Amino acid sequence: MAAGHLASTVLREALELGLLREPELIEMENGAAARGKLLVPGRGEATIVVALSEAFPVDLPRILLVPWNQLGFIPHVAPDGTVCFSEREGLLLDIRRPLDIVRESLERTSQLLIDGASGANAGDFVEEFEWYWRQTECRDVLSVLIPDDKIDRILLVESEKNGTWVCRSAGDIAAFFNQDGAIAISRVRDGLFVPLEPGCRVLPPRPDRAFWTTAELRDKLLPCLSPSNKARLKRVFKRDGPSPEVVIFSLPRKNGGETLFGVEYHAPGKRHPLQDKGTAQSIQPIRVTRLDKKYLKTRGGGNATLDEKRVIVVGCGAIGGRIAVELARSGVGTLALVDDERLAPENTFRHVLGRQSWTKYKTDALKSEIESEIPYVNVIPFTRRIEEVIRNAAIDLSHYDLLISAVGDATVELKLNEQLGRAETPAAIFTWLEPLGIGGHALLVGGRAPGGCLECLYTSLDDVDAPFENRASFAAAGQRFGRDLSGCGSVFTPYGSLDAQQTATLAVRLALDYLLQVEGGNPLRSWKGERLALEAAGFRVSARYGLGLDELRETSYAYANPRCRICGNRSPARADR
Amino acid sequence: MADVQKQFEQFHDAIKLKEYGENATLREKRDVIRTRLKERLPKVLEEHGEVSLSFYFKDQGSYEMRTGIQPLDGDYDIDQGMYFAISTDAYPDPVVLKERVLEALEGHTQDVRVRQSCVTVFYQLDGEAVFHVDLALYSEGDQNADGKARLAKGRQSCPLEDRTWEVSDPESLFEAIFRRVNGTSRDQLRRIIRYLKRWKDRRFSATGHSAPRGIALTVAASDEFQASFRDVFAGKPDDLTALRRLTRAILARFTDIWDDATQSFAHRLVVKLPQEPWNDLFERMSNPQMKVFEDRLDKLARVLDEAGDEVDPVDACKKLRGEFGDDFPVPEPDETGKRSAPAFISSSNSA
Repeated sequence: MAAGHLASTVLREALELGLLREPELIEMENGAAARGKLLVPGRGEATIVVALSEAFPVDLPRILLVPWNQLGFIPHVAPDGTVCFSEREGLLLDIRRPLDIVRESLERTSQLLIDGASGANAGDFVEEFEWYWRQTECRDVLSVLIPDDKIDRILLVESEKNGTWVCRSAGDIAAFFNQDGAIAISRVRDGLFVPLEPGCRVLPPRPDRAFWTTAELRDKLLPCLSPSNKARLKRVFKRDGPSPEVVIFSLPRKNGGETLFGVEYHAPGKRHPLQDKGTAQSIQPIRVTRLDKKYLKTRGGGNATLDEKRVIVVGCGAIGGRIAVELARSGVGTLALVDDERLAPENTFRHVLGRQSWTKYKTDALKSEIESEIPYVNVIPFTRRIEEVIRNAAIDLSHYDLLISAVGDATVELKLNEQLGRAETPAAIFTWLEPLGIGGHALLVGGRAPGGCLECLYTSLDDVDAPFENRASFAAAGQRFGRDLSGCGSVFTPYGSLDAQQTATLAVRLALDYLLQVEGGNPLRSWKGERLALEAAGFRVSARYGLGLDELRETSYAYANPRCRICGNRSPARADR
Repeated sequence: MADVQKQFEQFHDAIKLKEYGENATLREKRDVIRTRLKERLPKVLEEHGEVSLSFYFKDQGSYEMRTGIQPLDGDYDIDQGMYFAISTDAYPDPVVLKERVLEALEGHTQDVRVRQSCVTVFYQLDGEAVFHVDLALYSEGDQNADGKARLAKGRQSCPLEDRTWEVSDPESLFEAIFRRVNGTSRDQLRRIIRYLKRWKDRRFSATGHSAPRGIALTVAASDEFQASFRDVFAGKPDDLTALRRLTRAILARFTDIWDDATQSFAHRLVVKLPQEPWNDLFERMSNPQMKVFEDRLDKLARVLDEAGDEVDPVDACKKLRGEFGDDFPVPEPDETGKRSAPAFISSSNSA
């Protein structure tokens, strides 16, 4: 009642202010509504209906142009008259000022109607094209083809169980599912991919009329071909070959990206309907759901340039498992996983894999988890210890851009550090976690600058006889943490899983910064946790723990040690790959 | 270079003056004075037919800056700011206000005095001073036309023209001194200041002006300080190097200054307060006193260099003890002896 009261009060105030010409209230059960007129210079007036629902002002006012086509076919007006004057996404409404919300809604509507009537915003149809296309009686097709700017033959693959797909080759579908033969194909037909020129203005099919005829389609779309594509189209029909029954068009959008839509010709004549005077028995619009790599990776926050990158993850435990999954989600195209252990039930509460994967090798289980959940990623398992993999040259390291080691064994990693860092080996990230939530670290080695490696952390700056200890540690050196404490899932630290996750996040950010060439040096990055649990357990923090967050950031390259026996004499910086 | 950082930090723990929160005796003495003034001052003013004044207290000086050290002679000092909500016009002669405060405190201990910049309450035990409270009286900044707080200066014996309200802002002094450094570097600066103050207490007599003032050493240190680390990445400071550099830098700042009175040059250190009244904090030191100061500072610099050149921490610490006294620890020889490092080391790494 209160909300309904607000709607009618605000509407009455709006009308009293004269926001609508010739206003009259309309009965509305759950809210308040009025009919009136807005001035549209050059076209006289437009009749609209303003409706405030009970949910107003959290819900925007609804504004309808009645009848919808009184200004012609203009953008941002749906066939039911709804004026799309604002996108809700990314919008914060100041609900303390409901009257101003109504005022601004009307102002925006007025501007849209003026621009529509004058044709100033006709280009907006391109942005709304897909919406109008979906209003037609269309059939659905899934697309894994990556649009480019050349006319080309494509395939329409029909599967009774898995729907209809368009692709350039069956390999596109295999890449999507990360495996061959993922769908049972019942029929394959020929199609054509036809890209339209950027900046072309195409009016969508009018929702109040019948869909385009083959001739109308030609008139509207063929002028939008580039000269070279016009020539290509001619060549397609000159050559002998199957007549394409399906045509997928790509319409470039103003702000990047493109809209895909298509048509299917039933019983095309001898002259193809895209050719002058060509015919077909009928034409049906196709609506395209894009599942291609370019679209999914850029829309989902992944990075398309990472697709070419190849990363080895050594150690698939609490940290390494998460690193593998997050790299895949970031869009890295190829992952090699190295680990020789099986997932045990006691790993469950800290590992990215769960019950389904018990007793399986972590590598295999991660491969099937990642490949079934995330398209376009190739996961190669190496179910062996890294020492063995390197000894037997089972992986050609030179084919990879980065190796991330999350083994949790400093001795093994120091040896690995020694073996890497040559021109033919990839850059490496070493990452590890300290006990009781005190912190975690990720170190880049062999990046785009010389100097700095894992051994530097274990080399005293000035004391040859100094004990062998990690200078990065937040826990003071020389303390013994038993197995119960140093494992990430220790019973003493309920944050074990979060600590592993935070460390994995740190490592993956560093990995992406390296791969995307944001990071030019070899930093050690750390996250610093609370000291309470560590001290309560009777342990001490290191001097480095006492550094403030600014100091940690400022000294993130300062670990590099000229006395280091591994990198002290190593000079060449890596050339960018 | 021997690693004596541990010994420097032990020395620091030994000389550092605990804060009020940790030092019940000092806190009690401070609070007794505060309470007494709150009770008695209104009556004193009333007896003199003057309007009642509102005022509040603030901890000041090395407590506030956390650069205080344990006194050698047992005479602790407590610095209190007493801020009055009056403009300087209310008491054109600031000594009158100081006398009122003195009167309110009389009888509290045997010895209460008006001094140049404060009113001081001395506490004694068996005739020996055990500590004193310096009360600095201020006219609050808000009460004055230019918004600046002023300190009541002058004593009863001064001629009227020397009794002044001097612009003074101890709160922003702290900022001015420490603004350059942060985090672990700021901690190191505090330690270095304390080392210098202990050195001063041992090398100079507390009476007269032969000793450099604590605030003078503090500002000089803040001007010239450069943080030094044995391992900046691991957050391991190097106080010996920081102190060596600082001492050398202060020595390098001595210059020849023309002295009109003697018609000759004097080699002096000039360190100005980094805010109003911008005065030279060494101005009260005579030229001969300055010469002694310079010589002793030079000696300190040489000893620090020698200690830095020692390979054995025991030898280094013995040298340092010569300048800093017995609170500077000298490790037992076997404490620092080299043992072969273990090849089995526990690691806190996991993944």
